[in-house]
Order: sequence, then C-alpha cells, then structure tokens
Amino acid sequence: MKPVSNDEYLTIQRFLYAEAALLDQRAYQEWFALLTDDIRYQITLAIGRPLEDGEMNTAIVDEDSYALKMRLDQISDPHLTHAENPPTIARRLILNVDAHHDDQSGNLNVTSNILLYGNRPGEVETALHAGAREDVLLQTEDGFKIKTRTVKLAQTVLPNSTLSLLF
Amino acid sequence: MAGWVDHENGLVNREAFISDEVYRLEMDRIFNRSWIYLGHETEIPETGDYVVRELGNAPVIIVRDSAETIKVLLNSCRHRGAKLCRGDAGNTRNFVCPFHGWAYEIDGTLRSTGFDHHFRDDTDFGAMGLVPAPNVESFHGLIFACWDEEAIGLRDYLGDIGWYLETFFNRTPGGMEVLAPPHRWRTKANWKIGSLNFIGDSQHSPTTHIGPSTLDNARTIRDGFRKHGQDSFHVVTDEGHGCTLTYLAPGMPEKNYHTHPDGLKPFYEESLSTDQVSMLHHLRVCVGTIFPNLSFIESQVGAGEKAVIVRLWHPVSGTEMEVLSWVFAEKEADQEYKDRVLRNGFHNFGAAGVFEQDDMELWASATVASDNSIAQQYPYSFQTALPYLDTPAEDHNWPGRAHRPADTEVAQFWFMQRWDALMRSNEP
Repeated sequence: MKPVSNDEYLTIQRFLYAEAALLDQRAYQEWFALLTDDIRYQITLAIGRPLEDGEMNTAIVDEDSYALKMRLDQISDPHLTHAENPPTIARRLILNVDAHHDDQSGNLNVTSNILLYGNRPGEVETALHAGAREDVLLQTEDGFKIKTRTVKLAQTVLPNSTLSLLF
Repeated sequence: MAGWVDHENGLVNREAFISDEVYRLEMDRIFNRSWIYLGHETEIPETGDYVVRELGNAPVIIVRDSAETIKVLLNSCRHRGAKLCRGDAGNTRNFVCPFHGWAYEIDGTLRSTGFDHHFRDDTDFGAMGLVPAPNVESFHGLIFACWDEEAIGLRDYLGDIGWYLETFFNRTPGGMEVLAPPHRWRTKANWKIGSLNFIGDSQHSPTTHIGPSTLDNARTIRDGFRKHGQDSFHVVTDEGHGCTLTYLAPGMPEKNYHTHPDGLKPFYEESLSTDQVSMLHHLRVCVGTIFPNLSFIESQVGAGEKAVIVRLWHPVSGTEMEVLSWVFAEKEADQEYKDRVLRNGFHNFGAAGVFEQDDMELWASATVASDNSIAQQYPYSFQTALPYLDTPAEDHNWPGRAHRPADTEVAQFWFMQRWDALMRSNEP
C-alpha cells in the first residue's frame, strides 16, 4: 500500500473536514449523499481485556444504507426525535489523518482520529467521544464517496447516555 | 405524604427516584437480599472464563471453575482489598493479586499468600479464600446470585414469571446464546425507571417512540396484526415480577411464529409445552421485568427476525444507573441469522439504539427536573392503575395474574408496591 501524494493528502483532508462540517451542521441528507449505496458503517466499544489478549471491540452500530437512512430520518425530523430536539450542539475534530492507495481495489484507505464534542442545551457536562476511524474512500466522478467506515470508540462504557449522533 | 408509595391514591413520592439515601436503603433491603442477574452462561463457556460485574454494589467475578459449576466471588483480595481482575472479561487458571501476591484457585480457595511461613501456626488459610456469593443458580443459562444466605431458591423467587422466561430462553434443546459482549452505558436516571419501563409502560410508546414507530421497517409484518386484531395485557406475579404481552387475537387458527426462521419452529414444539408454543405462535412482542432490575424483550427487530434482548438496570446512585444490554438468539440458528438478529437488535435497542436514545433523553430529563425540593412536593402519578388493580382478567389460563387493558399502569404500580413492601421490611 503506497502513501498518497501530498496533493492527494490535502484533497482527502479537505473532504474529511467538509464531511464533518455537514454532520456538525446537521445537513444529514447532504452527508448521506457522500456514502456509497453499499456503505457499511460501524461503531464499536472497547472491551477491557488483559494486555495479552490484544485489542477487542464490540459493535454497537453495524448498518447498511437502509438502517442509516432510518436513523438519520429520525434525528432530522423535529416531530420524530427527542434525543436531538433540541439538537445536541456538536463539533467534530478530525485529526491524525493518514491515507494509502489500495493497489488491488484502487480505493483509498484513510485513517483518522475523531473527537466528538456534544453538548445538550442547558447542560454543563459535555459528552466527549474519542474514536479511531478507518475509512475506505471511493474516487468517483462526483468526488469521494465513503464505502466503509469503522469508528472504534476509546471507551468501554458510554459515559453519558446512548449515542444519537454519527461520527 | 408519609412514606414513598401512596397505595390509596396511586402516587409515588419523587424522592424514591432521586435520593441517595433511598439508594443506600435499596442496597441493604433489596439488592443484598434479592436474586440479582449477573450474566449468561454462554458468556463464559470454557473453564477459567470470567466476566466482571457487580452484585448489589459489590464488585464480583463470575467464573466458570469447571464444566458444571460457576462461582461468584468478591473481586477484592482478602489481604488488602485490591481487585483480582481489573478488566471486563478474560480467561485465567488462577487469580493472583497484583498488590502483594496472594494467589487463589479459580474456585476462590486461597492457594498461597507467598508469606505463609510468617503467619501463626494456627492460621486457618481455608477460611481466607475470596468471599463467595452464598447463592448462585442458573435458570436456562441466566446466572443469578444472592448475598442473603437465607434466601429462597431461584425457581421459587421467579415464581410464575419462570413460565414466560422459559418460553424465551429454553425454547430449543440448545437454549439461547449471547451473541456479543453486552453494550454498556451510563444514564443519569434512577434504575427503577428502566424496570418500570419494561414491566408495562405501554403509555410511553406512542409519544417517546414516535420516531421508530413512524419510520418502522417492520410495518408490513404488523399489518397482519392490524388485520386480525391483537390482544394485549399485563401479567404480574406475587414476587413483583411482570410482563406485557401483545399477540394476535386469541382464536387465530393459523400458526403465526412471526419472523422466527422456519428451521427453528420444530425445536419450539419439542422443547415447550402446548400453551407455551401457543403463546409464542401468536406473539408480537413481550416485554417484562424480573424484580428488581432485570428486564427482557422479545421483539421483531427487522423484517425477518426476532431478537431476545436482556437488560440490566444497575444502580450507581439515586440519580444514575449503568445499563448493560445483551442480544440473544437460538443456538441452533445459522450464523447469518444470528448476525442479523445482533445487528438489528442493537439498531433498535443498543447503546446507540433508535428506541434507547429517546428513552434515555427523557428519563434523564425526568430525573433532573425532579431533583429539587419544590418538585418533590408533587408525587409521580400512577393513577391509571387504580381502577384496574383489583379486577384481574378471568379468562387467563397461563401463570400469573393478567390485567387488561395493557395501556394502564397496573404492572408498574404493582412493581412499586412490591418495592415499598421490601423497603419497609425493617420498620418496626
């Protein structure tokens, strides 16, 4: 797997920032348009195992575009959500980006860390979720599309309620 | 209002859902005396497998110490208290304390302190093992333990709700299997809100869950229920357990295992009684609570599968709980089916579940809004239980006492009455 060029790196980084901004702005339909039809989207929690067992995770979200669409429709519609009405004020920080060409498929393997800060209106305690992301990006005529995304949360227990937002 | 539960008027003091003092009393009077669910046998299939949980508010190790036996041991060294296991799960041949080296067998027996020769000659090392929970029993793989040596047996404790649990956890010869480690999350709400929600809070579904019930992908299957009509009722038992069943109207001739794979149906008939099979045939959803803090739901979770979800509402304080959530499927099912049950099970009911996110938001909201002296002057209302509490359905032939209709608070108030009786058990 060959690292991408500096120019490609900047294009990928710009894509990740723009995509995170769409989620921050709750432009969910626009964000959904950046996914391939056969998207596989996963979020995992860590399992606390002894050091010698290696890293272990368990999925809490493992969805195709149909399930994701339902999830996004729910939090987009003021009449269909309580968890996101009033909406969580969220900021996604995308860091430690790296990208390689997958020689076989021609896709891009992109890794990044994400910090999702989410504040419920009126509350002073803020949910903070750190995760390691692994994406497979497809280059299309319309720009990049996300083909798979795995978000490994650096938590064994979600500290403050369940998740209603995506990474 | 004297006390927490006003039986006459169907009211409960908000203090019961807020106070840390109530939480401490609950630990003594309920959690250290009741059978508490800890996990499932299929989480620890091999000798030496263990998971780490809490029994009441005491940290425990649930370990398979042989093919047949499971021990529940206090996760605290008898020497100076350090935890023997500091992760969530693992496999071990023995427990060695990382602090000073006391070593125990996996059944908790003390093997060596490392300094045995410095102890007095009459030291009884045999009495210095890890503290075991005196009562540990399984019900079709569901592991329960109890700190109270005087406790009645688990089957007696479960009483009539056992019949329903059996239908969900012993309906094939292989039994049910946990499909992944439990999801865990904290919620700033009292644990009883979870127990009440599952024992019979039909009133919250249309408002709290307007999202998933509007967008529901299983609508086509529910059309059958619309066409043929459905029956829905609460079942309560003497021990404070209960469930709410919704199923195709009685008298429906055709077998109707909604979304259960065809391959599993013969197993049901082999393992269950005629009445249990009949219940399962026509069931759309069953949601229930084993007193105090174990809940379960058997529900369609997609167009083509039914999941059994188990939930533990573990108290952390008067205003916070940790929730653990497991997804189950029949051992005999094929892997592709199990994967779908797991995925769709937690899409609906997991740590990012489309149902859970709205529940948690509103439970936390009820908790924070009640946590002040003004709000606490105004008790919570369970008043829609009152007209129905003393009129059980007479046509119910299955175990437990049934109440119709299901959109009342009968089962929830029943739970609070049982809770109140136990909380007052030390009073003169």
